[in-house]
Amino acid sequence: MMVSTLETRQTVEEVGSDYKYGFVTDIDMVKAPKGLNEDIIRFISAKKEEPEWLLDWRLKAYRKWLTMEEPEWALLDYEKPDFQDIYYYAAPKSADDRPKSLDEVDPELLRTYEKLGISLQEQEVLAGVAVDVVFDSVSVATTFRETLKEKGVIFCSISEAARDYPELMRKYLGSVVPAADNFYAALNSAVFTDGTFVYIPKGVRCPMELSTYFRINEANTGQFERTLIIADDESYVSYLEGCTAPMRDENQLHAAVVEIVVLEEAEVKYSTVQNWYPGDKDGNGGIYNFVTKRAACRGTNSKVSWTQVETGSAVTWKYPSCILQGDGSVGEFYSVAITNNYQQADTGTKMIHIGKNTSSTIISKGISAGKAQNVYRGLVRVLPNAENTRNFTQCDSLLIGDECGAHTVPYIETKNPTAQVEHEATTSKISEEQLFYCLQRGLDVEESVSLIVNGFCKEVMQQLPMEFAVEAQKLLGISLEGSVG
Amino acid sequence: MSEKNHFSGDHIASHFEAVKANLPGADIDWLQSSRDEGMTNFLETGIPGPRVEEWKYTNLGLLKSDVFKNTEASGDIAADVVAAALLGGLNGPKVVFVDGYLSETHTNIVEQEGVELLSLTEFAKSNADQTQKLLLHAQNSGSLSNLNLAMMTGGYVLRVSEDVKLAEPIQIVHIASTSVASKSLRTLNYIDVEEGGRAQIIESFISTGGGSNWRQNNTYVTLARSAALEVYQYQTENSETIHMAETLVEVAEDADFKHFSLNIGGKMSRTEIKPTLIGENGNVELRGAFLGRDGVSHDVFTHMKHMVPECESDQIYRGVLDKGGKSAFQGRVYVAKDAQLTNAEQSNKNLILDRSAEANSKPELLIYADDVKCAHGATVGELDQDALFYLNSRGLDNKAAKALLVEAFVSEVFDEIDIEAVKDKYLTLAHSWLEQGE
Repeated sequence: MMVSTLETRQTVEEVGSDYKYGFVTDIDMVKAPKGLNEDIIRFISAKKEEPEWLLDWRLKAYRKWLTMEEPEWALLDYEKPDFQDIYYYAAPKSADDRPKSLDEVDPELLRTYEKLGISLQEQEVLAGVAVDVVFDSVSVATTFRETLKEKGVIFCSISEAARDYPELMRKYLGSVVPAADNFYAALNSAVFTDGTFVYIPKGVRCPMELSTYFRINEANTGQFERTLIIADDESYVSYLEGCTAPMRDENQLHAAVVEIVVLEEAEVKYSTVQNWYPGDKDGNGGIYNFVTKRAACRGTNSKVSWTQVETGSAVTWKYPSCILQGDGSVGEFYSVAITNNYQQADTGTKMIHIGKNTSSTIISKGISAGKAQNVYRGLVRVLPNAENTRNFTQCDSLLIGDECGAHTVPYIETKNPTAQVEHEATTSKISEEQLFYCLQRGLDVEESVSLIVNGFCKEVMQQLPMEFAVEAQKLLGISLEGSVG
Repeated sequence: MSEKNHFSGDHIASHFEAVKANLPGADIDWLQSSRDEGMTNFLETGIPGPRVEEWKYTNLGLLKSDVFKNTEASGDIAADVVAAALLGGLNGPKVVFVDGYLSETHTNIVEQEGVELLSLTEFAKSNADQTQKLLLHAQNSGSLSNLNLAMMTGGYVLRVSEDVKLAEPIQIVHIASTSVASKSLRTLNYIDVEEGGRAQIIESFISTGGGSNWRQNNTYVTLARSAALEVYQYQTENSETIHMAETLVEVAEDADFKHFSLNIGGKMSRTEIKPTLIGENGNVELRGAFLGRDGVSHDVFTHMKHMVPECESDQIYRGVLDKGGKSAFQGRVYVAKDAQLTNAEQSNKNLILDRSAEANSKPELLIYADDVKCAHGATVGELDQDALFYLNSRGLDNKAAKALLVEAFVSEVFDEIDIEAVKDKYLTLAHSWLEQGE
């Protein structure tokens, strides 16, 4: 086909076998036995020194989960996980004796972070970002807490929050994503081991971007993170979530829940770069990612903005949603989902318009290459009292190669005549002319595709915070390697 | 759910056993066993539950199984009722069904060489193999198609031979008469157009009185190479009727299929159109409008399957929902892995005129080929206030201005219709529906 084809293929094969973040850290883990039952949940709760109400809450979720069935409506084809063959609790050995500062952190851990390029020390100095690192299940280091404390911002692990801020936890935990919301959320509610808790007090603009890096490390450890963000009246926070995972042959399950409560005039910006191990080029291994993310705009003019760049995971099942309850509240969803090789992604959003004058924007860019399947699935629902609602949805899909699929499944449900709801979708391939133009200017095929794809995703990438945008742009290129030729 | 509405399989099976000896074609053994098989298939899954994705917007709780008590043919109806139901100015064949049964009295077949038009049972007698093959379509479809097969009360077969062009459009009228309340009206039809053949069909569904009937009309179409078929359907059933119409089409190379529909009546209507493009350069156009108020719900479900390269499909659906009206458009475009150079478009626009109305839209693209052009669009909104103001300022009162805008919104779908009588009928029906509003 093209002169550079052979060369490209070689490069691709070299790169394809080499997942950049694929390595395993050897640290002794304290594990609960495999499998799930009420005792395991009690064990987790005890390990976390949780109050009784939380244990009850977990058990209730677990009992409900037992009666639920794994959903099958998504356009996903995967081997269902055996929930009794998973470790539900794994913590670094030193969990009982938590480090007070980075110096006390297991050096092995620190080296892991360095390999990932997220050295804490470096980040403290350079980026001004407070990082709550989750290594498997327990937060091992929290930085910048002092600065945040001055402003009254609470940024800690959810286990700490359960002990130290029980009123906030009791009030808001499960208020956006109820314990038995769906199969995976119920599972998470029963067994979540850690996660992040953020509270921004009234009128406070969080002085820095808050960020958590997730890592899945121990083989067969399900990762059940729970994040709860509360933005009180007139506050603002930008939250960054990013993840990488070491190479594994077995599928690893991840079922996270993120809940965001946005009160009057407050704004939350939530950005994700998801780069979990997608499996090798033959479709072996890779993370199963079943995530429930939901934000409730409870006050007048509250605003939430989801931005996600999904490049990893073998299977992605994720629909960050906005409940626009307060009058004039705004929901945004910007998404880039890239699937290559045998990856499958079924992702999108839900915008539930309840209050008057609410508006939502959905921009979704799906890129499918190799033998991958990429689905946008979204719901825009306008309830009877949502006067003057406005929604705009745009879903563009790009197909690279003739063995992949791109699918769009939007739902529009309107019960108010003053609502204006628009949906547009297109599906196409990379234009030969654009490709030719780039090649003519001396770029190779991979670079050209990366450039064109970055242009295709520009509207979404622009929404990302600076430091994330750079990483995400590189990721687009890496994820698509091997897709052309 | 109340006891009365309860829809049990046993209930329906016992009705079936009771009436099957009286249904048309009882003397044909293999047809009876096809019916039995249809019933068995239906009972396997029963009525689709609310959690079945394809039926999530359809309130099947409205279905009542006691309609199956009444499956016998009723007395004939007056000639002027039939005359009123037919479109004037057309001299082609006229097929009239009264309460689901073909009416010999009112049916008027104009003979044309190369055109065969007869009742399904008549066709079955002389074409056993072909009919059995045709009935497989029903058996392979969903549970309700199987139910229709088991309980069908009539149907027609149209065959157009090679390179024959039908002189005039065929009119098919389905009349639900006043004579018996709550009937099961079930027709199963087959249209086969051979290479280069051309036909037009105008099919209407009308109630002349009350009765919470349940109508199903399933049509299976095969279009050979370069064949062309246009189907114009409209229904103004009474406000208690459950109306279901399904059309399955196979479109071969260079063939052309057009389907127009207008749904106004019924308590609930569901129009399913499922074309499969199996030959290159096939072309499908689907156009439709649905108008609902006062507790009426309309569902349109399309499933466009592009199986081969270089075909085109285009769908345009418009909905107008007034006080208490409800609609759901579920449109799916499927492009198979090998169907390169497909050009598929789909558009669904809905107008909501009152706050008690509801519009749902689910335009779906499932694409497995990379070199394709596929787009869909969906909107839901109210009338453009600026346009309304413009007309107000030109002296039109609010009602007249609204009617004008809505009419323009709907009529766009029917612009391309060549048969004046059909176009007029569509526009008149839409107009009088608007007039009935407040």
